[in-house]
Amino acid sequence: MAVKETNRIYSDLDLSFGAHPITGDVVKKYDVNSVKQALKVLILTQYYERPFQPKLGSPVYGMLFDQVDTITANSLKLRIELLINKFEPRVRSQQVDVVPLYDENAFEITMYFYVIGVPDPVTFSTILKRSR
Amino acid sequence: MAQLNVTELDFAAIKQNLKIFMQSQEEFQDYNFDGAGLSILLDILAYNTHYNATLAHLQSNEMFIDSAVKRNSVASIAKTLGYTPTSRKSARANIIFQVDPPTTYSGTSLTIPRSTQFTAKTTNKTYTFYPKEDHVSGLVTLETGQTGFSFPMELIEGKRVSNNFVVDQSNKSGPFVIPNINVDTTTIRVRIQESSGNATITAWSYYDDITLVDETTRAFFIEEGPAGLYEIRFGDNIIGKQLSVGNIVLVDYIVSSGAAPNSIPNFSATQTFTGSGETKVVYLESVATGGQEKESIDSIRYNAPKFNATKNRVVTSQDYETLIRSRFSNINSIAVWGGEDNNPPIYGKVFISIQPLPGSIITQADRDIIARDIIRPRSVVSIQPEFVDPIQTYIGLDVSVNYNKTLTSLTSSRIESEVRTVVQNYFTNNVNKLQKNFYYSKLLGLVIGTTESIFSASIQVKMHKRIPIIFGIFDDYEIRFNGNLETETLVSTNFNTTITGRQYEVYITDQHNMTVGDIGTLVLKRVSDDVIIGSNIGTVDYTTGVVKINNITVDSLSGEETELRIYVEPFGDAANVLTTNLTSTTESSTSAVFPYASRNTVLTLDTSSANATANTLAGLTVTAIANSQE
Repeated sequence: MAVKETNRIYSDLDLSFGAHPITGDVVKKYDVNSVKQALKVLILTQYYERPFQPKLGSPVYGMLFDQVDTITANSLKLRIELLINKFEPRVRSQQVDVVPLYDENAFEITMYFYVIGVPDPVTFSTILKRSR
Repeated sequence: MAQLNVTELDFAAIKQNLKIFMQSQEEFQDYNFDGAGLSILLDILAYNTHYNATLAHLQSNEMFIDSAVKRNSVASIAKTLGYTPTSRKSARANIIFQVDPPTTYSGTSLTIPRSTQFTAKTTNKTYTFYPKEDHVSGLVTLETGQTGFSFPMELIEGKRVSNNFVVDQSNKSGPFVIPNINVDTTTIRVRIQESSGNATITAWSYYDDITLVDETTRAFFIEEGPAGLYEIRFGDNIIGKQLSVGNIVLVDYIVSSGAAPNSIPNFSATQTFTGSGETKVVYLESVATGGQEKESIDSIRYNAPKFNATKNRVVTSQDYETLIRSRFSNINSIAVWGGEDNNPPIYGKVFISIQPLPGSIITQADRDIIARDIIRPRSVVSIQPEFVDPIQTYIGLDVSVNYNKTLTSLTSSRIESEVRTVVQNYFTNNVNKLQKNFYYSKLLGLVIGTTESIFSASIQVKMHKRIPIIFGIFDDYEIRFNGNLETETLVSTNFNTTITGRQYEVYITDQHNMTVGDIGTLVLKRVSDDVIIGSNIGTVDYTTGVVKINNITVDSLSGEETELRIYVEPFGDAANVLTTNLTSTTESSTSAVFPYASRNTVLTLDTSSANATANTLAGLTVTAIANSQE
């Protein structure tokens, strides 16, 4: 039986659904990590993907197939900022950088933000590359 | 203890309920954020619940005849009520087909097989008709005076199709599905061939009443299947004889074009029967009628429970209406009343009046089918059905409305046009059917409610009947208005008559005879100077509305008229016109054949234009008067 840790603000299921080595429960994520996971989910959710919530999501997935250049990178940046402001109230966004990686046909995305209730700044970086 | 509310059906509400449930848990705090993993799981849960709820909702809807949407659900429920939805029906026509053979033809008889094609054309399409059955004729004298072959026959529109089914262990009682959705089920013929090696063929008959079927009866039954196709079923050796393995079911039928070929009159046969040089002539007895579409879902919904209530017996007048409606879908309204309600009472008879839908007619053949096949096998013994034609009473209205011109920007002609539409709709929807009455106050309310600017209205009601006239012979006429009439309002259209060898243009009017009571005398007045030239040519009873014209001869009608019209005004300022029957006050036996109940009266809006030559009055006139004060 999981016991609530009182000093934790946020907790969520780990979407890898791995088992805890000791308790056997589904592994959880806490605080900054749970918010980071949520941001990743939001960015990769497309419009009309969730039942009855057509406007939840972003066109980021589709934009990865656009020309890899600064124009697309700038557009991605704006979309991600908008997405965070709209759907993730736990985050106060400071900055989003999107750098086109021409040789790899990919974009490197770095987000600098604060999680509300957590004093330290957080940096979350990921590379988005079209796969098919 | 966490509680999960399970009353919601909507996705958002289900998800909200799950969130409330989660709030009472201690483990997770991220359920309420869109990106959270738990939120995704909630979406899946809510979607799944919603999916099942919708499925259950649709399923339960389809289980009841009132809420079922799919035709196969409605037909299936109707099947449990013992009701088979009517199929498309082919138009049928009656002709006499005569063949004058060439001199080289030596035969003394000729057969026209049921596979013979006759064609008939409308302006843009050609339809095929087939004889109902094989016809054989010997040599007779034709209409032309020549000797040849003559075939009075009924033609059925459509395309003859046949299907064969082999019986195996799994379908000894059927069903055998007819793979044509437009089949006319009344034309289905079923024959059974013993086996592929034994060509013996027996005919089997259609039954819709199992009380007439025992274990040896060669009966087949027809049902509508799940895909809207009709199925043929056979007995189980208890109710109806069962088929044997190896039997071949030979089914033939006509695939119908529905109502489209109705009213076609011009038939011809292209085939040669007796050799080159023959002359073929088709004499028309009745145009193609009776073609109709497959019964609609709404019609099944309406008819099936009522059919079930009749228990396949005709006892009450409602039973007659339901059974007749279940077989004919081109009926607008029906009135059925027992002879005891008639005036005068005629016991032992039930009177049926059928108003067909506009553009269709109920033929004598249809009436024969209704009497012989529908009513007779199900009716109480000693009750004779009698058909009565609907008769029309035309109601003319002079509508005058006052409207406040400060409340509207509509012109008076526009208001008149809208009032006219309201009146016409009232008649179409509420009056122009059997057993429907015209209520003055109801129409007045509708007229005043046409626009907010109308603050008062008055309606003058006039009614008339149209009498077909045989010109040049002395005849008596009796017209029944079935209600109280105003005195000295009767007037006819103009006509020519001969009195003592001299022809006059005259009209009929009434004079109230104070000495006799509520009886008036009919007189003939000359059109040119309104002088009475024929006194006492009949009577009008102002109480019962019976007008009797005795022994007049009409040479011709003035203007372009084809029927003589008798106009009267109903009694009172706000007169209703009712079609309920007159209650008889005495029980008397009579040999009268035709009933005089008013239940066969259809009230129709008179839309004719005024014609001074014929003295025809304007039917519907509307006047809008602008007034700034209310």
